[in-house]
Amino acid sequence: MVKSIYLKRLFGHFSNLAEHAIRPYEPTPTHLKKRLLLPLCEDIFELLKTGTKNDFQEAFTGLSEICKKKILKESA
Amino acid sequence: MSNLRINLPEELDKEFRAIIASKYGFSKGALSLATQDAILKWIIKNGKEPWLYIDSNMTFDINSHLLPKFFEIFSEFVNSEIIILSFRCTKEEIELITKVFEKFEIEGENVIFHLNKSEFMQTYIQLSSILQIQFKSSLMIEYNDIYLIGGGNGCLNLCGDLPLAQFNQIVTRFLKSLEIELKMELSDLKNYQLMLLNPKSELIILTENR
Repeated sequence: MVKSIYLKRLFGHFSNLAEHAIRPYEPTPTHLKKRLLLPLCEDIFELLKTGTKNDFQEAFTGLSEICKKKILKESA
Repeated sequence: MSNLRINLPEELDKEFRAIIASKYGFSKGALSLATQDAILKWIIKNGKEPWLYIDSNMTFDINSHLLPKFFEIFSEFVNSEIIILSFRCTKEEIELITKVFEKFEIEGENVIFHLNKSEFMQTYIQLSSILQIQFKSSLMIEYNDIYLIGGGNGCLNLCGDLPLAQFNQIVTRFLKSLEIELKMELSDLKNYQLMLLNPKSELIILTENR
């Protein structure tokens, strides 16, 4: 159960990036940068600024779950 | 339909036709279909933001004017009495929120609203009008065990496990509310994309194996 709002947002934005990457009709590089990468960067900065040791552990655990579910599954 | 006559280098033509044959076989209309697909991808890649794009992998690119309608329908379909709306904001924005709203929480740079289903839309509309939250990439809307998050301006992703059939129901209802004719039943269809390039365009339905 993710409690921290910025962790939930980090997972959401990473997931959004993963989902967009496999869409057949992908918008412009500007869209990708502005709507997918920059939000993710902001989440990383926020985690770095306010996160606890446990938050970092939880962040990497959550991100690796998304990798397994959305990216590694796709390439299997 | 328009006719397009173009000149292609022989090698490009050969490669194009070989891929079409491997993908669609030698069926009638395959060349036109592949050309349409190539042109559409080129149009999008070169800066055309579709007015509406819905992918069955539960991502959306929705014109920001359509967001209130979308959130209204989404909230109707998802069984959650409490909806949590949150976003990151500046000190000035927090001061402004304090003047207008009574019930909200602050966590670091984040403002969090715990809303009853009945008060969600009104609060969303107020916040959109005061703070333009529809453009915030930190906007997150949480329901019981799923949440919507985006990169701002209608680029949204649904996180969590929502059954595809329920997702398709929401999509169907949303299109109906916009008076967009969907010429097929989505029911439990997967791997599809729906696209409208402009408000009055015809809905383009694409299905592609991934």
